[in-house]
Amino acid sequence: MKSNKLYFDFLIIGGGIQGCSAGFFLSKRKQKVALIEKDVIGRHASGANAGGVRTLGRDASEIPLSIVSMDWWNEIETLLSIKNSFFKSRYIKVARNNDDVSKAQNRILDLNKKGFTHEKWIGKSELKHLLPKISNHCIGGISVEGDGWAYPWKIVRGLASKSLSQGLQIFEKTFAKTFVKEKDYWEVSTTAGKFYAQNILNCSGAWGGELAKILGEQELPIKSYAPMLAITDPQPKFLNSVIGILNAPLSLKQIDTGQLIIGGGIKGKASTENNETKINPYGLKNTIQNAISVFPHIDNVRIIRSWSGIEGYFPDDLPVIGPGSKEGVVHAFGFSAHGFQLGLAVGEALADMSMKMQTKIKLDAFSIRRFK
Amino acid sequence: MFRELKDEQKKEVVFFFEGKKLTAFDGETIASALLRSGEIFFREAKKNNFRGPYCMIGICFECLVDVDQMQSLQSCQVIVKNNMKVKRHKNSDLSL
Amino acid sequence: MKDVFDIIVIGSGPAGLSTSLAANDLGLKVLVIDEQSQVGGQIYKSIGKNLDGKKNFLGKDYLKGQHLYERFISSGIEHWLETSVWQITENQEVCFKRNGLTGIIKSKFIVICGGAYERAMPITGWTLPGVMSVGAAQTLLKSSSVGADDCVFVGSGPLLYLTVYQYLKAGFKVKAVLDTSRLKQIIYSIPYFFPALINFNLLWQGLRWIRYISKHTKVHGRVKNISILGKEKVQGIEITLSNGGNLKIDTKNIFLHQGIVPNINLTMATGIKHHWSQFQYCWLPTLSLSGETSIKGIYVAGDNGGIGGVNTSITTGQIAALDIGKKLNKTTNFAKLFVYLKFLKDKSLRPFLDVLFKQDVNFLVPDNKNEIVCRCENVNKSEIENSIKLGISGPNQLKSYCRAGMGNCQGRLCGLTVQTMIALKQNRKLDEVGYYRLRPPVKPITLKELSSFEEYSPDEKQ
Repeated sequence: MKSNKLYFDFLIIGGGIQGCSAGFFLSKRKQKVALIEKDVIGRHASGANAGGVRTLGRDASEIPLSIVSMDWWNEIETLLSIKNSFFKSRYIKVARNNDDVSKAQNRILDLNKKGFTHEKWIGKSELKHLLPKISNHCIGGISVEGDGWAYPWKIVRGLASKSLSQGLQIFEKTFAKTFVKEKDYWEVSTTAGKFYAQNILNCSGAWGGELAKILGEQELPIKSYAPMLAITDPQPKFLNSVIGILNAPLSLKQIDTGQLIIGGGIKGKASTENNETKINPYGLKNTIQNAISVFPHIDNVRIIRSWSGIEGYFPDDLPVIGPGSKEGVVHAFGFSAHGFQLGLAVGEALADMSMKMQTKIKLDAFSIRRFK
Repeated sequence: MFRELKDEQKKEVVFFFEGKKLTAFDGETIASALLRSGEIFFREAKKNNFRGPYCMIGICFECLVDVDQMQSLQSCQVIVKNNMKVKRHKNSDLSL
Repeated sequence: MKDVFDIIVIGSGPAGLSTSLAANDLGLKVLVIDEQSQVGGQIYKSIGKNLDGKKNFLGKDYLKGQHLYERFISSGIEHWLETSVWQITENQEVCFKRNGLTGIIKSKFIVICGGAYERAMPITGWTLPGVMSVGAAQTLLKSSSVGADDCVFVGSGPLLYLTVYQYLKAGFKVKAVLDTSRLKQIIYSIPYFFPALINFNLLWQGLRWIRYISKHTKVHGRVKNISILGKEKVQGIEITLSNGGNLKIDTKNIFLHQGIVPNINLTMATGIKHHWSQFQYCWLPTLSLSGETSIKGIYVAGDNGGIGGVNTSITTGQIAALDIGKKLNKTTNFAKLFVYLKFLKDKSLRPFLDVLFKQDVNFLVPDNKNEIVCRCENVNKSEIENSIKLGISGPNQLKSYCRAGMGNCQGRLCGLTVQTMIALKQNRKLDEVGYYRLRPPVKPITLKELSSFEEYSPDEKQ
């Protein structure tokens, strides 16, 4: 194959939401940027998740980023010239017993102290009013009114399309093999030829740890799993909020076709070597039991399909976002199954960091060096 | 129009389709009994567009009916039992 | 989880019956699971009910199944009917549903004998009530002695002719048989004719069927431009004859056939490696000579591993059982060799039939751009073409753009059409285009069922 020399200021590795979002912001700022993806855009975790766009239930260190991201989400369809992809929706995490209630109310107090007021407690009668079909043993919950959900593949591809029109170059089915640091640029050998870039953005998801090592970082405690999802056949509309459960895995929403999407981070086995994932029926069993406990009337509804992506998880459930040890490297990966909503703000932050600008939010909590 | 061969002597079972009383042979599938009764519309694919059985071996999912409390059963796979209440399977997909 | 059985056989057609009998003869503990209410699969459907001599119109081959059936019933091999498998986990646990309850069970080996199903034939009007596959006609005939008079059969292939023969012998009136085979297929099949002569009896039988059919109904060969007529249901069918003339036939029942393909939904969802067969125009599980898949301990036998017909199904079932028997130290390789020679003899007919009745790829893609391709989700040809134009990388990306393949049947009816359309429009090889990424549950299952499965215990009554 003829040697193909391609020069860029910024080279993004990974075409999930973090990478496409970074590509969107950099190309918006008229930067010379390319994105390399070993499969196709949105192939893994970013294209195969429940599409939850929530500020609810996050670790306090993620909340500022999540709130900034939500501002972008509220304009996303206009920004990307797409429609029927993002839907505003209340998010409720339901309390099923007194222990749930006290934990929830303590959490809200704690968040309020830190200056966050988006999560609100709702009692049993308001819960029943919002969700008439909810089981009687649900006694309240934490609610955020201004959250939402999206069709993940529409968003990620929407970001990619808009970025293409802004000048981003995307190379799919292109695998980056080696990275060599020259004086003030990186030489990257890929299956589509050699790329040269001053800045590398590691947005490679579950593969982020492998790539970080190649880029000169220490071994990171990242593990890959396959978060599993299932979808049912269409049902008459009964749910207009996205539902979770406090202290138990569940994510339940009803989309515009009437189908229910069930997720919640149930982990199946994943292989980063051959893109294979295995559905774990035991995990699914547990999550579905939770779904039926909250909405008993759906027990005869059929699951028609399941699927999963490949995601990277850190032991503290927080991602790595920030500059690498070597010059010209920034990382954003390991979002532990809750990076989708953060993606818009993360992309903006990646663009800021690579362009040596101040980020809107301090990102120290996500430093790659925190694992020492 | 489907019919059964005349030399068959089989025990009959009573069931209901959309409220109408019909009979099936002992051991007959819902799909076969409905086709013999002249019914050809089984599931609603979209508003006022109905489908009937196509493969009869559980592959195509066009023969879906609701039976008693259960929704969306493949009628070519379910044997008729006495007093079963069978209904056409309506599509709840609101986007269609 | 403990191995409750030596072998779990999924499917009780000729391959499943043969596998379990051969394994049982070696003293192995076998469980046979089948979704239907009777053993026999498709080809021997309802054989247990049809031994009273009233169904002789079904032909000698069908009645040959009687021997296999009776041996099975008297063997005492444990079998669970009306039991479906929705997943085989990575630990080779079989997730099943029986009597409304779900369970999970493990065995040392699994032999998947899920058989085959008919290719979709998405011609104009194919979704109208009244249009069914030829297999559907056979199923109704075998299991409830039900058929339709004044019907029309359309397509190509041995199963088409067998069914018309059975219909006529049973006393149903067939208005016409519209054969879509092309002349060139007859010419191409000639080189395969001579090896096929080892199975002379079957070839002769085929000729007898064709002669009988020609005497009792109208057969039109090499028809083109097929259009099924009707608004809410079938009213008739219109074709262009081989001489260029037009023909319209009034009918309320039409049966279609364009060959059969292995049922790969369970095998693919289990993570077994498959390869594309251009010759048979379908996906096949990649098997060793003994039928073992890429997952050690899981075998495939019968048409599920490649279309071969009844005799091949029986021998591949025996080979799989003997291979497993050897692994469990119950037999030697010599026994397997003997069966393998019979397998080669049975297989020699197949290439001839495959070429003679070669799937006309043109019938996989509708002529009319408004014709439905994905029946479950109501997606038509032009919607799929529009999505392909956007530059999708394969059937899985296509799914998310236009919903084709996302419905209940998980691509069983639209998968090959979508794959063919992508290959044609993007000028790519079929095996490179690939297929839908299939996952469990292999058939829809309720939330209650999915959340209540327990490990199977032989002591408890299930």
